[in-house]
Amino acid sequence: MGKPTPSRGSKRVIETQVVVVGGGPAGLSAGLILDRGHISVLLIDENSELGGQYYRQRGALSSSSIDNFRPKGTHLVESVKKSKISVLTSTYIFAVSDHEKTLYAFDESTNEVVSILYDFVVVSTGSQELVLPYSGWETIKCMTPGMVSRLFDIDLIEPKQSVVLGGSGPFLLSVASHLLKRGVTVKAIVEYHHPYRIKFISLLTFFFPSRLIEYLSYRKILWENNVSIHSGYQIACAEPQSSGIKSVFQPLNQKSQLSFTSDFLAISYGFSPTIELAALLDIDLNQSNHSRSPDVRLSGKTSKDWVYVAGESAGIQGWRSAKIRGEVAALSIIDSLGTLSLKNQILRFGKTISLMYESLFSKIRIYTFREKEPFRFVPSDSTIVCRCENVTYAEVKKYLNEDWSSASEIKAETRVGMGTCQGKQCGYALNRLCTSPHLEPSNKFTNIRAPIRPLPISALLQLAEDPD
Amino acid sequence: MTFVNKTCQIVINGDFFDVLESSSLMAVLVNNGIFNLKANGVSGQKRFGICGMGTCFECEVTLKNVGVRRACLLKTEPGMVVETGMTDG
Amino acid sequence: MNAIVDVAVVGAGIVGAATAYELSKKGMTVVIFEKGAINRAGSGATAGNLHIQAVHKKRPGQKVALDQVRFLPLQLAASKLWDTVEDDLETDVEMRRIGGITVAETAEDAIEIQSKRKEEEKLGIPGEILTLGQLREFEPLLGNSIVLAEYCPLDGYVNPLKITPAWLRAAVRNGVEVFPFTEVIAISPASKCWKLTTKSGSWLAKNVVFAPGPWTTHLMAQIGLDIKMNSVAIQMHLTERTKPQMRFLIQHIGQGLSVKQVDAGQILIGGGWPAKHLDLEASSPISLDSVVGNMTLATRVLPFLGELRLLRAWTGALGATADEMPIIGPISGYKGIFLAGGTYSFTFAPLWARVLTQLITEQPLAVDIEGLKPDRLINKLSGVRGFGG
Repeated sequence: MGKPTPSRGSKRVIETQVVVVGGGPAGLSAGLILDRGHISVLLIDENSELGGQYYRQRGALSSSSIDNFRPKGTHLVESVKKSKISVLTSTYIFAVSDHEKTLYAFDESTNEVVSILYDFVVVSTGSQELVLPYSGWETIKCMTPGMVSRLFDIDLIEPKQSVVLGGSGPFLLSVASHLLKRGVTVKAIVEYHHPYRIKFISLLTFFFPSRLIEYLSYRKILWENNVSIHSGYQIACAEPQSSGIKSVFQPLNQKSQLSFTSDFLAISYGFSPTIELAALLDIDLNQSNHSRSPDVRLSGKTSKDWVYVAGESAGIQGWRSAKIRGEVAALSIIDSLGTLSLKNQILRFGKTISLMYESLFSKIRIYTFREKEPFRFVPSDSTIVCRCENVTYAEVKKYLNEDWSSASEIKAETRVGMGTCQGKQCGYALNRLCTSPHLEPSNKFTNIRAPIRPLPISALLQLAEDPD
Repeated sequence: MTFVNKTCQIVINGDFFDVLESSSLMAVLVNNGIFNLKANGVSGQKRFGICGMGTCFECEVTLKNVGVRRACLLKTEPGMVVETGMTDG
Repeated sequence: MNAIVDVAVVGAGIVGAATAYELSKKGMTVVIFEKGAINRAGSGATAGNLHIQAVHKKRPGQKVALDQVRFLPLQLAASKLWDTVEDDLETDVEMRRIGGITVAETAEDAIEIQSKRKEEEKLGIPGEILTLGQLREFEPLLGNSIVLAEYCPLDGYVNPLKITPAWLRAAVRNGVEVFPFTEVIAISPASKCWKLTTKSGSWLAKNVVFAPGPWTTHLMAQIGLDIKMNSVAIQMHLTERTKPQMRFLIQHIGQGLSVKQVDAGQILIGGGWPAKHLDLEASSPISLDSVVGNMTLATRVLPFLGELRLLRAWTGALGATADEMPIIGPISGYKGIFLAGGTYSFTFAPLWARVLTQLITEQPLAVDIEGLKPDRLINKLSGVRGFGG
């Protein structure tokens, strides 16, 4: 199909058949399959290096004695770099043209706007960790498990420090295990639910042997290092002290408080698909649990036949599923171009079956970690609900019980969600607070519109038409 | 992945640092105890960041001749000049 | 069935809220219905500017120019009412009468500024012309393309996110009942009053004030009327916080522009640039063309903006009329029904609230509304029974 000429005078214009947004497991896998099918691919990532979160690269190593963190990921990144795939790092999409067939990206390394003319887009923008405000969470060294894992595993900061992990989800065990391997002291894992009790459903994990082995290896490391998993607690507050951060966890049923002191405190409650680009492309979205996700089929197809979503941004299923989804989306695109060989059709069929298998495990995870239930959120008056605008719960409380209370009304009165991150950290919390009968659906609160990042106005001006 | 382990010099808040080229800027900051990355626009409180992956925007630093950038997304480059402690815009 | 109220207000945007409050001060029983969330359409999305000097006549893409001179006595009357709003409401709504500068970049624009200044002088609206030599001393931030400007000390803004809820709270204190998420699905004549039907029940009201902005077309149709509207969604843009440096509201006489720095430190940039299209069910989508157009103009007039980052943009639906003028007044043949809205409803809100109260209580009107009444835009719809007389 013909490509529209860009209506704007931006100097860098890239034409490609497929643009893959996000260079994590899904995006890398999708790109390679498309490249092998002789399709032109542009792969974009906001980070300065490919890999996404799961395959985040260490960059220059301080010593060759430190093993490659995830060799499969490094291999994928290397393969992409050796292929014909065009790669743009430090680049993010900020807008979609009014006619939708041009994407506008900002390259942070050159301060340039890039116009991308494309036929297909694969959205593989991954996920972000779900956070809930707690008193003192703005203290330096309070962060998410993902960030603490990145600092120790990727950035290789001094390991002789201590961490307390909390929140909910299997990710806590994985992070703890990696930290312990690096020589970091993990003082405790504090899990909101009771997912590690042996129940009937535990037997189902035998159908997922690799997952079971992984789990057992985490438990072994924890046991060897005397790290306890405390179940049924939620972080109440964090206080900076001279000896580190004192964290206090409240029990959810009876029992007494737990308290620890550590150098770092890392809390998150699972993951949420990153759907900003999907929303900009205006595909159908579903609201489920605490987050929205794209309405997407196993093939990666969405409500628009040129938009595919793959990986965690399609729904939280883990890195194995992300890779397969990337591959299946790529094969589906090749199929829609009419060039899918019989061999690849069979491959796609096999991978689709794998996806169903992965999806089944996700259902077990969702059930075990009770992800459909909302997390308790009872902040104290001084808890900062919106980090960017420094809005405390006391200020939000004033507007919770008016006849017309709603998330957007609270936002209007208190500025919650109006700061630099545009509600990415506080959105879930705000929706949890709005329990009035007229709660608006979360899409009204975090309305996603261009620009989806703070964008230099000087860059925007690059899009003004060249005077003739 | 093989890197030529080249060192280079970068400047952070006026001080010179010898670092590996193409390594994590965040690692350099943390290893040198620089945790005050950006001051909150309302309270002025110094923040370090919570997400480590570019969504919270609290780790923004100023790169001379480039602009305001999230430190967690950056690699070191020869001649990089970094200022921390700006107030959130 | 509830008791008969004096007035039912339909639409809890700024005009509806101000009106409900004004009526409640006269001891009337008032209910106000809002089909969605309060202040969610144009009223909550707009720049919040209070325009007292004569305005720019055509939004980008607007076909019909508004009658700039007809606006002036209304703007002056509104200005005097805005002077007392914060005291009356006893609450902080970030009212900032900081003064406004309207700029001209061409000779044609400069002539328009000169002529509008003359019209303003006739009515006693304060202001002064700033010549090329005076411009940059008055406001150093202005760019080099500007040839002439006018400064009016009465221009300013109020926080649109705070003013409507503040009016509603004050109304509630006076006994007004507010029903958000309560759509009026039918209106029919009853004995000496009107019956409004919603999903939560029916109300009888002696008078009905419609202030539904872009839903005016839909609601008028329910009472058998076709009204010539030109509803549109417009965009606003917000930068990141920056150090306090803008002292005035900056506007343009020939193109769509309004720029000011709000208390939080961010710069709010608008000018009536159209969204991609109007979507009354969801949020109207952003037009990138409008973002670029608005920002290009803003940066030419205020070059310092080029160093800032754009944080976000949003849209809001406005009930503009076919002749781009306000609507205010009764509808012939529909005793007890009143309509208010049209262009510049934000600036005129307290004025329309006052006029509607005067119409309902049969008092002399604060301003002459000749030429602004709804009849000029209305035709009867065929096939709708039960109305008239």
